[in-house]
Amino acid sequence: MAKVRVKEELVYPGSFACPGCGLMMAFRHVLRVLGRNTAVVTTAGCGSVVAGSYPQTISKVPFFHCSFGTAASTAAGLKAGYDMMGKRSINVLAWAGDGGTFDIGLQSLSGAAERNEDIIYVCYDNEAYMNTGVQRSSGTPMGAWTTTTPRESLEDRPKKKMAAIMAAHEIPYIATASVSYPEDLDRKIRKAKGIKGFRFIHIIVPCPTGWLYPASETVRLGREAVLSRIFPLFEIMAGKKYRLSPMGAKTPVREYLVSQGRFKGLSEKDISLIQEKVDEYWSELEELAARSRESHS
Amino acid sequence: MIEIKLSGRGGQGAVLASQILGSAFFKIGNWVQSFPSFGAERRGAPVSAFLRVDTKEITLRYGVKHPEWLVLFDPGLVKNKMVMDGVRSDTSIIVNSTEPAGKGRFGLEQRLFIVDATSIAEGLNLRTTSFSIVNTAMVGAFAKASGLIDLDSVSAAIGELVPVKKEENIAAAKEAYGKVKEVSL
Amino acid sequence: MKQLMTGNEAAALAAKMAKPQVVAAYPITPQTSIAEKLASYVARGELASRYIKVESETSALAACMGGSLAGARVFTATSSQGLALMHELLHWASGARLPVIIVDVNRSMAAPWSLGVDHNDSLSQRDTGCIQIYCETAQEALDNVLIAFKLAEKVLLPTMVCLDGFYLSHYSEPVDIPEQADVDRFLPRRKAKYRMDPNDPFTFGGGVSPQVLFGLRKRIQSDMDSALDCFRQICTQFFRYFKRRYRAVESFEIKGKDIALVTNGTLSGTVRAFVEQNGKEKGVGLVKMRLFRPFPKGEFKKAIKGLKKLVVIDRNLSPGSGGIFSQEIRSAIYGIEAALPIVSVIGGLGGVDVSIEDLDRLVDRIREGGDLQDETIWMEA
Repeated sequence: MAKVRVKEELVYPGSFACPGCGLMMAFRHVLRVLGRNTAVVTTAGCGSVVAGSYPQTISKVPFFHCSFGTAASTAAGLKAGYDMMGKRSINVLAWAGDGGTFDIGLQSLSGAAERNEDIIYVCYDNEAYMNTGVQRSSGTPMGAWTTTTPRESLEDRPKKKMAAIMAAHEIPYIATASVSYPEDLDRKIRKAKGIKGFRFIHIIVPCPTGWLYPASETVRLGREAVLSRIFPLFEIMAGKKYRLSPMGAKTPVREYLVSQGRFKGLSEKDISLIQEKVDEYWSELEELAARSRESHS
Repeated sequence: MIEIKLSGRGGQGAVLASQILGSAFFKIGNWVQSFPSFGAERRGAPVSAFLRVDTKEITLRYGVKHPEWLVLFDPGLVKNKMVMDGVRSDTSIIVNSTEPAGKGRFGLEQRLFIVDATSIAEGLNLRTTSFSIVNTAMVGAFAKASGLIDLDSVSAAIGELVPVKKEENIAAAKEAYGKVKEVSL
Repeated sequence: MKQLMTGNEAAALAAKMAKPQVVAAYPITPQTSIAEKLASYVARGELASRYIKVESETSALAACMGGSLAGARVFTATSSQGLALMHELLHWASGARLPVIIVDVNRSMAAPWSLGVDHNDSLSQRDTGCIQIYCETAQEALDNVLIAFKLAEKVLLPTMVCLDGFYLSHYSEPVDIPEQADVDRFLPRRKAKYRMDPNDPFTFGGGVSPQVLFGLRKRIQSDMDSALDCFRQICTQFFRYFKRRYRAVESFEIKGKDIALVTNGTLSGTVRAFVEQNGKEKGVGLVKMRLFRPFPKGEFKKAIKGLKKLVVIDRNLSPGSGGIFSQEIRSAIYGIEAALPIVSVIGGLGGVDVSIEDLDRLVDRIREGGDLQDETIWMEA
């Protein structure tokens, strides 16, 4: 196990997060690596709710609550303002959930990525609109229960492949990460910090409230998501060069699914269908990574 | 106040012509207001541009209803309803036509001037792939026919506003100034 | 020095002279030449600014808000549907107290498609907490943009300068260009009191209690009220530098007249020409509204002293109610000693021409018509 240097904590204790919230873990890690010279823009979502109510805040760095669909463009403007005022060293972090990224913020995200704005965009993905009470988003996985995909009509579409969409923008850096792999997450944020241009980090953040599991299981589920390759860890450089991150031997999806109440309604057939889809995506990724290795060796 | 309407086809430079005239009138101490007809731009479609000239500030904010001068870059526009809208018996009209002066009046009963701006432009190699650039010649013809503006001011305005072939465009205005003819009734 | 330029060119030149560090814009007719002009200023190095060519008007305003949070001076321009798309963020910008400058080139709202002017786009933003200034001429477009920057940054509210599409945006006319050195003195660099600074970190815009929200809204109202005084002071300063005097409400030849035509935007120019030509004979003068938000109630009441009737011509329509200026004016003068009859007129929607002849007929009809208080007169084409 690598040695972990404890860096300055930039999040105050006492957030409004639910017990076992994966998003708070992710936010702490991200800010610790980015450091004090950072400004955060966040959209509506759990990220803005957990940040606390006036006169309290969890953030020790400047933090702006922007409108739901505009994390990327607000952050781009902030960065442009800093640059023009000679404050080029400030890291600008756009912090948005799956709704603010996959759905309502996709247009502004695509615009900012295509222009290669010099910001770090982190999507904390808890796979539904959680703070409004668990409604499906286009980040909700197939087979999941939410209040808008009730038991009688579970989510029947696959989760939108955000990394592939971002790769099509040929931005310098894309990474997926999990709060259960903190060293990998730290490394990716550190790497992103050192790159100029648009950087997109997609973190899976398990949510006991919406995924229906005991709060103590967050880290285990964040790991199962990766081990099963439901949420594989990888990087994409310049939109083309794929690299798989170390994540341990691949396991069947069953363990991940049966650990969560939101997947309770799945039949054996459903589980094998999900396994098939996961295997298909995983071999695609392996192929892309292998091709990248060949063309760059 | 004088109100002038310049009509051509999209791409012929009617809007620039109104700006050149506007600038020329402004140079000699007038207040001017120039503006295009409103709408989306389309190559080849009739386009009008307008100019108001006065010795004091013009505060009107609506289209020219009854132009005193109508400058037509294409004789075919005589039949265009939109172009001829508001033209009255006291409107003076200048038409670009290859017909020699005196041969026909396009059915017009107004005071009429004719200039072969197309040949002038062609002679000076003023053309795009699809059009002869007749706007500067038409401006020169207007200066002479109306007697409202001197050729030097027009030439100076062309020099400032026309992006390419400044000399040739000034020459076109001069040549048209010399060649425009009134057609008797 | 006077130069011929369109209203759009004048607004773009003023924006350039104000030296915003961040510009973000999305093209829409008839605003486009502003977006193009600023792009060319930045490309040629005449304006040291980051021009963000955003993918929508929402992002244009969001990017401006971001720049403003960094402490930068910011500018955007739009029109019609684009402004409507910014609507959510206008509330956000005023609530966050960000002095974003927006030029709106007024154009009818779809459907159906129209390129012509009316003021429904900007007036629909009435309750967002955005200051609204209307322009009559290209000179005013230039001057009002300079004034707007100073006003917005003083009262910390977004400020919109409205230019009538085509009648102002595309009419080319003489404009007196100020010296850059004078503009720099009139409008020094922005010194943002509140900004996102890692050395002095604050959280902006997070959840608040109902009581705090209530207090902040009250604060916007009192700052809007103070914006009237600020506007007056800034106009006095502006006069000192540039010798042009502006007021929130301006009257023209109303002495000895019993009727005033009340207008905003370029319609004021046509009414001005009408009053010059026929005002004496017809007994009419002009009252022009430069400011719409904050609504200059006090100055309006002063301006109409001695008049017997107001004819408010609205180039807008609030369906189900009528002309928006006429409602606002009714409310502003309600309860004054000698209540003035107000005739509400809707004219020029979608860019329909309103000519001197139209105004002449309108005044004749009002003179003959008796009590028209409960009707709306439609100046149809």
